[in-house]
This record gives sequence, structure tokens and C-alpha cells, in this order.
Amino acid sequence: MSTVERARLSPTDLGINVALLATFAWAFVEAGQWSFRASLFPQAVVGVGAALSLLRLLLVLRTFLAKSDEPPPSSSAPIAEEEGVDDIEYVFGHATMSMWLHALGWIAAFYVGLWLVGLFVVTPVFSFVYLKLVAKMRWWGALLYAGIAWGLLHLAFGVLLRLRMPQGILW
Amino acid sequence: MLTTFFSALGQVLEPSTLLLMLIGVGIGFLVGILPGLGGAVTLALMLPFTFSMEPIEAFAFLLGMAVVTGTTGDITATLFGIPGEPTSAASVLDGYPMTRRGEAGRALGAVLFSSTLGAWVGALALALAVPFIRPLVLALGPPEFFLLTMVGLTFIATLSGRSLLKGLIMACFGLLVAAVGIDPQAGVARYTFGQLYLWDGIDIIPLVVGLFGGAEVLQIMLSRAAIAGEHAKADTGLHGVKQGLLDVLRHWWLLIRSSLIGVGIGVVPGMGGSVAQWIAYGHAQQTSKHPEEFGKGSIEGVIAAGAVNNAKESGALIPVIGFGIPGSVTTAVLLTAFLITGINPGPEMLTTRLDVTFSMVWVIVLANLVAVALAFVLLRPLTKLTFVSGPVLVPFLLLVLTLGSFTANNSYADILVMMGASAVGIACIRWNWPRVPFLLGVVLGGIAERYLFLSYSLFGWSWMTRPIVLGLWGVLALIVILPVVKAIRRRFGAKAKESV
Repeated sequence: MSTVERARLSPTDLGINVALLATFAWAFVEAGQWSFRASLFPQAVVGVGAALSLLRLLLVLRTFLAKSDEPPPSSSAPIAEEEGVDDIEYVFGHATMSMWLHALGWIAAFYVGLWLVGLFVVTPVFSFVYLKLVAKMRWWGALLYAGIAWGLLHLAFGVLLRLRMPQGILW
Repeated sequence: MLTTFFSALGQVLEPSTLLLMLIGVGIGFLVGILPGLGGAVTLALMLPFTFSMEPIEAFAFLLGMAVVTGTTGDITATLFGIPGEPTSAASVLDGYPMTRRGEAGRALGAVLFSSTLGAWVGALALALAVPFIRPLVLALGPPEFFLLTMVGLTFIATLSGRSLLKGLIMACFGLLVAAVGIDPQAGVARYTFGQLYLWDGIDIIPLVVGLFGGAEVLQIMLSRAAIAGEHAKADTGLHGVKQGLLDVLRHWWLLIRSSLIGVGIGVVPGMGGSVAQWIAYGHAQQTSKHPEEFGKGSIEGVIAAGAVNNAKESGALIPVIGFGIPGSVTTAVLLTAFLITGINPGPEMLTTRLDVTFSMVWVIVLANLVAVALAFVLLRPLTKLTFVSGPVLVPFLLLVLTLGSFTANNSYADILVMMGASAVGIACIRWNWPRVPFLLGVVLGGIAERYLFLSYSLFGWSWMTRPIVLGLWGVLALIVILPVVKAIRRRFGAKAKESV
């Protein structure tokens, strides 16, 4: 396992490995209830997947348990730069919990709003509120953006393309 | 064949098709300009809108978008030192230093013109390859196609990310997801949990939209920074464009070599533009009379980086069209478009649907011509776009994510699939599990299973010992074994150095 790989190992990475192994194992057992033709391909695939997952799990555990004279590499920027990690990885790896909660909270607000009032209402409302509070835009700019977004949505998808839009349970 | 070649041009020039291509060029232009918005991501987001289109219209729209992002990504790479696309990184090395010393116009003229000509060389290679891949494809049967899908999937798994095992595991996971739904052979409901929605399987559109688009949007929300960054300063002096054009003509042989490198690398499934651009750049430096100028504003570096960008997209189309094996992330998404429009990649694309194949060639030629013309007209105001703050884009991007998922089947369940795929995509990036093998597993799973059962139905188990199949088994083994051997040799080499 490379130096960078060792630096990137974490309980979560291990957890993902275990979760995939468990998924493959469950899928294999589930497929055993079907006919031969229906189960052949899924069982072949998840069989290979489970074997590979188990192999990786054993390698990872061996790495964790093995004694090494090398000092553990830090997870700071120099490794990322040497290995050419792109920006999105850096942002995800260095965002604080409050940043994650903030971003996910806004996403949840958008989709809960979508479910409640539908796309035609949530789009301008969310746009206005998000631009005011997060982008710190002036109220008239946010209002204009929201209005244009609603107008484009209505014109392009409602009138021209005539596509059905997600409806809300309240609206 | 020549008649079909020119009649395809006529089909591309039909008003509706031309309009859709121009819209695609416009969208691809903006996407390429704006760092942070990936070409493949946008392609995935635009897929749902191709449902009601004819095949040539759909590919004119999507391909017009895809082939332009590489060209326009070079604009921000040259003006701000920030690549608009990951495949424009090499353009930064010499384009940006040229801008800093007041030669922005010359650098932009060279990179845009070389991108266009590189695309044309790639398109020509694609058109010329058709007669040669036809007999090859017609000689292949279901067993060979099954092995080719496995070879392609394994190849991409080994090249994505730093861990071979992770890539292969994600590919298997993708194949598992592809198995969800009513089994086409026996009519058994597989992994549906009693949900009617899942009887048709997991729709590829919301999956692709979430897997790539969701992570991009979240990244912008987390960073909250202006896309171009505060340090980026634009030199808006755009003189010297004509000099740049002449530079490209003067270095025509370098242009052709770089383009052919792009086509060659693009043909190999799994080798992305990031690989092609550095190989072409390195080759240009090695063969230059002034290699010491590279990295400090060499016009040859700019030309090589520009030419390879679009040429590799044409190369990547060759295995997609001929074998249904994507050569890149972009073509993996385009493969989805094949399925949407009801076209089967493979022999059909080289026989009954040859007009669609040749229309792609013409779209590549025309789209780049339009994009470059537009770029030259809009260069100055376009530079200001890159300072758009990330949060300003968020409402629009969330809207596109939602629409892209919902319009596939007018189902809220697809939005849930998109959100789930977003979570998978984010987890993959955060903990370094590759997404591309997973996507390809989902895309190729149904095709692979169909070919597997056709092979068994036609030949029994003896399909595994057909001559070409045996050769492909060998290739598959090599693809898996070689990285392992390299890793073992690297470890022994490191241990040997430690002991010295």
C-alpha cells in the first residue's frame, strides 16, 4: 500500500469497505432464492465484489496492524499537492462540520420546500433567501435573480417544452 | 459510404438539428469558461432533455456541448491561470505566463485555433477509422462483446484512482445496481424491495446527475468562494490574436502530432484527457528546439496543449461507436444517450445507423468552428464571467439538478435516487473511492448480462474458448495483473533503497 494510501486510511474508509462487503454478501444470499438464469449474473458479480472487498479489508487491517518505521505522513497540503489532488477533494477534506451542516441544511431546505410547495414556488423563494443570506446580495439583486429564475422556469419548461414540474403537497 | 458521409452533413444542417447544436455549443461554451462546472457533469444534466429528440438531434445537442468545453476551458486557463476544465491544465503552464507578459491575445489565438484544428484532425481520424472498424466489429459476436465490456470496465477500474481494488470493487457495485429490476431473461423481480418504481431498475439519468452534479454543487456551497478566486487577474489586452493563428500554421506538424496523440490515447478505454494532455505536452517539449522555454510561455506548449484537448474526444468516440465501450467519462455519459435514443452501439452504428456516426463527425467539425468564432467575438466580456461568485450559481445549479432528475420519468422517486447518488458521489470523493467505474458498471451491466446470456444461448459454455475470447481473457488478466506486479516491484524497490 502506498504512502498516500496509508495516509488516506480512516475508520470511515474501512466502514465503507465493510458496508460494501455486507451489501455484496446480502445480495448473494438474496439472489440464491431466484432461478438459475435470474441469479447467475448477479451472483457472479457480487461474488467477485465480495471477494475483492474481503481482500482489501484484510490488506487494510494488515496495514493498520503492521509496525512501520516510517513516520505516518501528515494529511496536510504537501501530500495533496504531490499527488495532484484536485480542488474538490481538498474542499471536502478540509471543510469543518459547521460548513457541512450549513451546506446540507440549505440543500435539505430546498428539497423539503420542493416537496411542500413544488418547484415553481420553491425556486424563487429559495433563490431570494439564499442569495440574501449566503451570497450577501442586495435585496433588489436577489429579487431580480429570483424573478428571472421563475420566469425562465415558467417560459422554458412550462410554455416552450411543456414539461411537467414537481408539484408540492400543499400547493 | 461517401454518400452517407455527405448526407449526414445535410441532416446536421437541418434547421432543428442546427439550432440544437448551437444551443449545445452555447451551453458548452459557458461550462467550459466557468471553472468548477465540469463538461461531463453538464452533459449528464442535459441528458433528460434529449428524451423527445431524434438521435441525430440529440447527439448534435450533446456532442456540440461536449466538444466545445475543452476549447473554451483553455480560455480561462490562459487568461487567469485557472483551467476551466481538468483537461485544460496543460494550457496554464505556457498560456498564463504569456498573458502575464502581455501576450494574451497571441496565446488565446494560438490555443483556440489549435483546439479547433485538433478537433478536425480527430474528426478526420474518426471518419477514416469507420471502414476499418466495420469488418472488425462484424466479426465479433456476443461472446466477444461480453468480454470487451468486461475488459473496458476493468481497464477503467484500474486507471481510476490510486487503488486497483477500490476501482474493481466499485465496478462490481455498479454491476449490482444495474441488476436491480425485473430480470429480462426470467422475469424475476430482483432487489426491488416490493417497490413498483424499482421494477424498471434504477434510472441512469438521476444516477448520473447525482453522482457528478451533486458533488460539484456541494463543493461550491462549501467553498463559498468566487469561482475564479480572488487572486486571479485578467489581462484584457487582446492584441496579437492574429499572430497566434499564424503561430499555429507555422507549427502545423506539432499540431498534427499532438492531435494524433490525443486520438490514440482517447481510443484506449479509461485513458482520460488528463493523461493525453501531459503526454502531448511532454512530447512537444522533447521534440522542441527550445525545450527550456516550456513552462515559461512557449507558444509550442500552448499549441500542443490546445490541439490534444479536442482530438482525444474524437478518439474516445471510436470505441463507443464501434464497441459500446466508453473511452472517457464524457463518452460514458454519451453512451447513456445512445440508450435513451434507442440506438445500440456496435455493428448498428457502422451499418444501418452510419448516418448517425458520420453526423457526429460533422458536429465535431461545425461545433468547434462556431465555438471559436464565438470566442473571438466575446473574449473580452467573457473574462468577467469567471468572477461570478460561487453562491450566486447555487440556486440555479440546484434547479438544474432537480429538473434533470425529475424530467426523466416525472417521478419524485428519481429525485430521491439523485440524492442517494449524490451521497455516493460525495462519499467517493471524500474518502477516495472512484466514481467512474461505478457509473460504468451501471451503464454496462445490462449490456454485459444480455451478451452473457446470448453467448450461452448460442454456444453453451464453449463460448469461453473461442479464439478472440481467449485473447480477451488474456488481456483482462494482464490489465489486472500488471498494476499488481508494478506495485510489488515498487515496494521491493523501496525496501531495497531503505536497506542500502
